Formats: sequence, structure tokens, C-alpha cells
Amino acid sequence: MGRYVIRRLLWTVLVVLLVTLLTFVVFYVMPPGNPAIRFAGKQPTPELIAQVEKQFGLDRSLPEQYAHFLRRLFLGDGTECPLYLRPACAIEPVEEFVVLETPGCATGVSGCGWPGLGMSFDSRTAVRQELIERTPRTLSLIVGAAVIWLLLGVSIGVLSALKRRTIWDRLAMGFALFGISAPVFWLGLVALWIFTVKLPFAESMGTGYVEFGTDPVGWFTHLILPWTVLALLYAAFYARMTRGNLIDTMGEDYIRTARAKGLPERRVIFKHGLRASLTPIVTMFGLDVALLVGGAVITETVFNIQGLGNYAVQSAVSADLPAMTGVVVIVAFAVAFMNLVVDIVYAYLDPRVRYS
Amino acid sequence: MSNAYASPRGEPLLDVRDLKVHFPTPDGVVKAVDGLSFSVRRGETFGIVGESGSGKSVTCLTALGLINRKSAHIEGEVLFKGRDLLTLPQDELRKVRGKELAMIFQDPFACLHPMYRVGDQLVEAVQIHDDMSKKAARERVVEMLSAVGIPRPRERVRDYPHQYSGGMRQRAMIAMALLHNPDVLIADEPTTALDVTVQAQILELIERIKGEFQIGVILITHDLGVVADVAQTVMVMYAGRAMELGGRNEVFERPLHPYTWGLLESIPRVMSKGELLLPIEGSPPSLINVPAGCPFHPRCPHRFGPCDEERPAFKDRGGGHPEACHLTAEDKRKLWVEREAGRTKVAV
Amino acid sequence: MSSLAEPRTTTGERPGGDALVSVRNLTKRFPITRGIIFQREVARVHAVEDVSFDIFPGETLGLVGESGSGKTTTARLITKLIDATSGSIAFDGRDITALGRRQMRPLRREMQMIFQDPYSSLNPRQTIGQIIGAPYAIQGGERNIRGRVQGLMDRVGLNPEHFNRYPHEFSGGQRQRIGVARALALSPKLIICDEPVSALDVSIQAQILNLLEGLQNDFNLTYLFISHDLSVVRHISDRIAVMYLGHIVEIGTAEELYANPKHPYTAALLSAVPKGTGGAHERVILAGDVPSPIDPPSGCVFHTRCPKARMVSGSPDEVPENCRTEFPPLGEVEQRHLCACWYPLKAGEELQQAAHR
Repeated sequence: MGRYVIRRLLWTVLVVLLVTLLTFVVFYVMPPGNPAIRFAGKQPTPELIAQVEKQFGLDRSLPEQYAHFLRRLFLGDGTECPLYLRPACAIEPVEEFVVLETPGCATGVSGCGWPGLGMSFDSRTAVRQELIERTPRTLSLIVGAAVIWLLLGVSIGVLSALKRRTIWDRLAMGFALFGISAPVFWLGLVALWIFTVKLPFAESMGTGYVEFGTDPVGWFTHLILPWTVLALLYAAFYARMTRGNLIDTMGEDYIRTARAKGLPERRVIFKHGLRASLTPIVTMFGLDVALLVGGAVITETVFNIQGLGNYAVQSAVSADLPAMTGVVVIVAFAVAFMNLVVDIVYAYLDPRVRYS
Repeated sequence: MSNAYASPRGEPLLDVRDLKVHFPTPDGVVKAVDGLSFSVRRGETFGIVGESGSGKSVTCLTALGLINRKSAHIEGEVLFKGRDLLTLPQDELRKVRGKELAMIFQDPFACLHPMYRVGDQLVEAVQIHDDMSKKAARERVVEMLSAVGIPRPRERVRDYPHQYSGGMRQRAMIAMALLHNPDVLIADEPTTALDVTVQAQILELIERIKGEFQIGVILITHDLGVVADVAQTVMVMYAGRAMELGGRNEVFERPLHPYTWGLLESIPRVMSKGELLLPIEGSPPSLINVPAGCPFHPRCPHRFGPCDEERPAFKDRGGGHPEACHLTAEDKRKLWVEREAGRTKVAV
Repeated sequence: MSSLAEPRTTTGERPGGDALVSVRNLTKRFPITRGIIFQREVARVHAVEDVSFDIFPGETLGLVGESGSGKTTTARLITKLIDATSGSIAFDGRDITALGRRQMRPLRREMQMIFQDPYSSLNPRQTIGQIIGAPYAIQGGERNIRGRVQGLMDRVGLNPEHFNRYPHEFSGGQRQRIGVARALALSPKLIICDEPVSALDVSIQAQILNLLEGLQNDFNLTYLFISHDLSVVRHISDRIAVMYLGHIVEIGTAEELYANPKHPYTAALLSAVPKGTGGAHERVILAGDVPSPIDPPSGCVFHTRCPKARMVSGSPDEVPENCRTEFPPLGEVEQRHLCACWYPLKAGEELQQAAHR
């Protein structure tokens, strides 16, 4: 098992590096023209251009630039651009990056953040910073919803499988149908209306996101509704899947052996049956979570959670290239990571996989 | 309906009386077992022979309570050491199952849970009926694996099923069945999925165990050759009913039912070529629409008057052991001799 | 025993003969690869090793072996469904070893296969008329396909009016008949039957076997009949080849082989078969399981389980050196009877039970 984990880990690191390399090539190497010219302002002199090139490391070799990019990506923009943070200096809205003319104050936005993730065209803040702020919000949303949908979906699925064709089964599958069919935005709005408008005690469940650090209780109460709404759809799918898998598994020969041994039915179902049915669910779960990282758009919008999902949509709509790049990279990382997690859990559940 | 065939070996361990198992389905009632009676004694290998759909597996699954009582209509009695298994409450039945009455199945590749270690699965079987510590249970498991011929049992205990070969898996299944020294072992087609040389090993193992532990063995198979080799008593089933039941030599040398004749004649014998294979015409019947009267009559070359109306009673008609055919014992003897003679063709 | 360093023929009869199929030194090894990006070969499955035999027109050659013996792989190699690692295959006098797919196409009319599992070898979405008629559609040149198909159906014992039915509407035995009809469609010379009756009930088995025998006479067919069931093979074959772990260990006529097996494996195999005579007989029980074809034993691959080797050496733990180091050549031990063994059994010799466990 250990060897398997190490192999998968190495493979994931490789994938992550490949993603960064691809991003670097697509967004920084391929675009035509010398970015230094853009940064140098309106009437660049050759000396200015050279200076800019030096500043942004454009005079160095590509592999070095890539290394620089990696460093900026993971470790941040560092101390190389403190100037834009100085409150005393006015920042004028410009569309291009402009080189600092005086060392004391920024007359324009510096090309800070480049060649890291860069600066958002819209907000004129470093993309990386944006991502760092938004990611925990989205993660809070996803993790909470995931726990709920996993518990809810699998239990309903198990119940349904065991009480096949009874009223419970029909109710459960009806719930599943509802959950799959109801559009998330409708669910979200209805939930909001019921809980915040109609029910007086639920005023604490507002929209918006509350930092965990500042107010844990508020964080929780503000997230309950979005969790539930997001989880409902997935719970429905998982209930159906669990039901199908468990029914199939319970027909397998080794279940008959377990019963022939004299095991109580409960043990047969949960120890023998469920374990074998879980593996496809694990795979689905990994992919679902990974894709939600940039994909929980509707939920985030309805509940006004400034997370990665609506950042992705905003930047796509306004063609904010660096922001989009940032989201793409994060989602790619999430997928690679979840893949690793899924592989490891799968190998733990099903030993046959470890030996191939 | 009592079994007229008496065996000299003492009280029966398992006594099935007029067992009926019917499954209601949207297409009709599937009469998987329709009035079956037999008994098994200590030290006896009881062979149940039949093709697919004969009801042989369902019989034993019902005895063990592995057939869902809610989905089937079950009648009759299955007496195990005096108690009727069919009326026992589930938790009582569970105590018997795997402990006093054990079963192994056909496909050893699918019978062990692929995600747990073999040793752990056997330890579970021990601990469910015996209050032993895990360590003691493990010792017992290693002892048992060694007894069934698995080499290096202490190491192999930690393996997963996919690391075992087919023969070894079946041995492990046998070990699991024997952990609590059951009184009766039911083996449902235990060697069908195995190679011939491995089959021989497994059959020899079962025989040895039967002798050592003095248990009763029920061997279910479609392979007449296997039954001829290892069984003392043979019951031939067709369409959920017994066609014939007797001692092995009796049934093979003086068979008393046209279906048995058909089976014996359609099997090529290893040591004799040049015999015509005489297949039985037609195919096994649907269990929903079992032919009226004798279920075999549509395929029987010797059918006459009552065969399509009256169901032949299962009893000894003077032939030496019970069978279910309207023909008289005299007629049967004659016909069998004729058929045997006609079968040998001149070798080309 | 006259051993042939280089087999002239493999049956000792009809030298330079007019065999329909001629296989020489056929070997197939499947690579097992490891590696994430760069696949490197870490081991090989020795499926078929140095196999040579002939199949003569009009005869039935039975190929017997247990799992891992390589019999199915051999069949696939002959029909070129897979490519050999080395060795040669000749069909109807022509060397087909190196032929590509296009060149093989016309030849495929001549050799057909019937498969084991009647439930999965028929496309459930096609009517049986389409299934049986497919060969005509593929090879072309036949105008009255329907008439031909119905003729075939009739010949194999199916009702020609069920032309438009689907496979699931038929029983196992009937499906196997459909497979036979399909194989017959183009009037092949050779039909390879890969365990055609193993999945069928006993009473149906007999029907199918009788059908195959009848067809052989009527259509002048040659069969390669593969099975693990010794009684069935005995019944239908003229000559039989016994395989173990990819090697042929014995070839002879059916009668000879069963009356006087020369190779210890054949003897053990025969004694393991439940005889159905109701008599107790001495079974020679081989120890252990068949070794893995990935890591076959050295020398004679059977030496790890061979009772005869142990008899020769006198000890249950030792085998003679040549058994351990060199695989014996397939040599003629008697007229038309070949065996690959350093110490073949003599007539009437009884194998002692090998000490097992």
C-alpha cells in the first residue's frame, strides 16, 4: 500500500507541474509581442524597455522565467512590488501596466504580480491575492455540502436498497427525482425566502459569507442554507447510485457466503455489502468535489458568497484574462489533488488495485 | 410422505419431507421444488444429480434458510437433528447455519469477499459462533487451512482472495465450512469451475474429511461421473422433483427411470468410444408451466396412457428403490436391457 | 524410443504429408509491462511454447488441457486472431505465418470457429438471420442469402421460420446451433471448436456433439476440437494432443492415448476423470496447482508435479536431473504415438500416487 501511495503522489506532483508549465506557455510565452513594451508605457525609449525587461526578468532565459513564475505562483509576489500598496499614492485607472517613473510613488499600476498570476484587469489587485481570499470561502461551502450529501445520499440509498419496492423506497426515489430536477437557483431562492423572510428566527441565516475567524457561529449559520441547497442535487444522485450498487452487490456470491456463515444480516449488509458498493461512489465523489471548486457558481451567486465560482464567471464575462488563468490553475490543482485522494481511498477499499 | 428407502446407517441427520418451494412471479408461479423427500445420514455422501432448473440448489438453499421467506411460498419440513429448520425463527436459524449445517458453493472465484483478507474472513466465521479471542481464532484458522492442504498457511492467511488459485480458494471455502465441525456439509457443484486434476484433489479432500469427522455430505452436481465416484446414495432430480433415489450401484447399474436412462446414455464415457450418444430429445421444461402428469413425459420415448394426466407417485414399485414413473418394475428392467444393447454400435 | 531432434512429421505418419494445417515450433509469449510513461517488459506469459502438430483433412484432432495449457491461444494463433512470437503455420499447403490482414481475408472463408459461451458469443442486437448471414455479407458474392441461411438453420436443427428472432429467445443449446450454422455458412474446410459444449447441460451436450459429427460427414469438415472434458474429446476425436503449460506433451490416436497413455500427465489426467462406472478406482492425484505460465518451471515443465519422475529418482522430493534441466523433445514412442518425456510410461505400468502435501 505504501508503495502505491508514493507512486500516486509522485504522479500527482508531475501532473501539477505539467499544469503550471502549460499555463505558463499558453499565457506567457505564446502571446505575441514583447510584454515589456506594453509595460513601458506610451513612449518607450529603448533604455526604458531594457529597464523594464530587467525588472520583469524578461531578459532571462525561458526556463528561468518559468522558475520565476513558479516561485511567484506558490510563494507570492514577494517584496518586489511594495509600491502599489502604499495608500498615499493615487492609482489611476489604466488599462495597461505602466512602469513606475518615480521610486516614491506609483503613477500608474505597476506590472506587479507578473509573471506570477498577474494583476486582474478589473480590480487591479493581484490575482493571487484574490484567489487566496476566495478559496477558503468556496472550500467551506464545498466541504460542508460534501459531508451532507455523502451522509444523506448514501443513507437514503442504503435504505432504499434494503427496502426495495416498499413505500420507503418510493419516497426515497421520489426525493431523488426532486433533487435532480429542481434547479439550484430556484431551490436557493425558495430556501432563502422561507428561511430569511418567512421564518422570523432564521434571520441569522443571511446571505453573504462570514469569516470563520471573526465569528464561527455566524460562519456556520450563514452556510447552512447554501450547504443544503448545494448538497441536495448531489445527494439525489448519490442516493440513486448507492441504491443501484448495493442492490447489485447484494446479489454477489460472497454475500451468500457471508449469510451461509451465519452472520447477522446487519453485518452482511454493512460490512460486506456496503464496502464493495462504495468504490464507484468514491470515484464520483472525487470528481464532483474537484469540479465544484470552480463550479459552484449558482449557489455562490444566490447566496452571495464571494468564492471562486462567481469569480470565474465574472472574469469570463469581462474577459479578465489573468483572473481566468488563476481560476483555471486552481481548479486543475484541485482535480489533481482529488484524483490522488480518490486513488488512495480506492486502493484502501479494494486491495486488488494495489497489486496491478 | 415418508421415504420408503431405508438405509442401515442409523438416524438421519437431515430429513426433508415433502418440500415445496414456489416463487410467485409476474409470469406465473415458478415451482422450483415440488414435493421432495430424502434424508442424509452420518458418514454418508448423498449425491443430488440434475441439470439446470432441476431444483437441486434451491432445495439446499431453502434448508439453510438462504431463500427469502417473503419471496417464496415454502411448504413441508426440513428436519435437522430433530428440529424443523423451516419454522425456526431467524436468529435461531442463524446459529445453526455455518455451525452445524454448512454449505460451500460453486464458483470459488466469487465466493470470497475480494476486499478482505482470506484469514480475516475465516476468523469472522469462527468468531460469529464461538466466543474466542482473535488470536485463538486465528490459530484455529491456520490449523484448518493446513488441514485442507493449503501450503504455508501462516503466510497465506494474510493474502487476499485474488492471490489464491481456484483450487486453493475452494479449499479455503471448505476450511471455512468446517471451522465449527458441522454435522452436515452441503457442497453445491464444488468442482464444476475447477480443472479436472484439481477437481480430483477437492473430491478426495471432501471424502477424507467426511471419514475423519464422520459428517454427512450432500454433493450437488450435474456431473454423473462425479456422483458415481464418490456418492453412496444418489437422487436424480428433474423439474423440481425426485425421479429416482437409491444406492449408487443400484442407480447406475439398474436405473429405474427413463430420465436417468437418458442421462446415462447421453454422456460419453471416457473408456469407451464407438457408442452412440443418445441425447434426450427436447429441452428441460419451464418451471412455470410444468407439464401435467409426469414432468418428463414430453421427452420420454416410453410414455403411455396415464403419463400426461397423472403425476406418478414417488415410491418403490418393486424395483428396489423409489422412483417416480408409471411403468412397472418389470417393464423398466426390460426396457433398460434393450436400450443398453442397442447402444453399442459396431466400431468403424 | 526414437527421438527426433528435428521432427520430420509430428504424427509419424504420412511423411511430407498433405496436412490441412501444419504448425511448427509455434510460440507465443505475452509481455507484461510496467511503467508509468515508458512501458518496459517485466515478465512474460509463456502461453504457447514450441508447439508442432498437423491436422489432416477430414479428421478431428482433439486438443486437451487444463487452464493455462495454452490450447485456446493455440487456436487463436492458427486462425491468426493473434500473431505468433515465432514459429510457422501452414494452411492448405501455404505458409500463412507472415500474412497480413488483407491477405488473410480470403483464407478466413476456409477456417471458422465455434465458441464456448453461447450466451455471449452472439450479438444480442442482431437477429439470428443476420448473425448467420453475416459471413455472406462480409465475404460477398452470395445473392440468395436468406435462402442459404434458412437452409443452414434447417440443417443444424433450428426452425427456419425463426429467422427474425433474437438470441435471447433461444435456449443455450439452440444458441450453440446458431453458432454452428454461422460457422458453416461459407463451407469452410476447417472448423475450430473451442469448448463448444462445456457450457451446456448434459442432455444438450449430446445433441450438439451428434450434430457436429453428422455435419463432419456431410460437409467433409476437419475439426480442431478443444476441450478440458476428456470424455467428450475421446468421443469425438480421431487423434488427440495433450497440452500442459503451453507445451504438447503427447499426441496419439484417441484409442491409443486412452488405453496406453505414455506421458505421466496424460495418465494422471485420465485417472482424475470421474469414470461414471460406479467403481472405486485408484486416482493418481497430482500435488499442488498448475504453475503459473508467467514463471514456468525449468526443463520439463511438468517436473514439479510429476509422479513418474519421483518414481525414477526414488524419492518424493527429488527428480532426475534431465527432467529439471531440459524439456524432452516430442518423439515417437510407438507407431503414430508421440510423447515428450524422458521416462515415458511402459505398457501396463502403474503410476504411484505422488506424495502430496
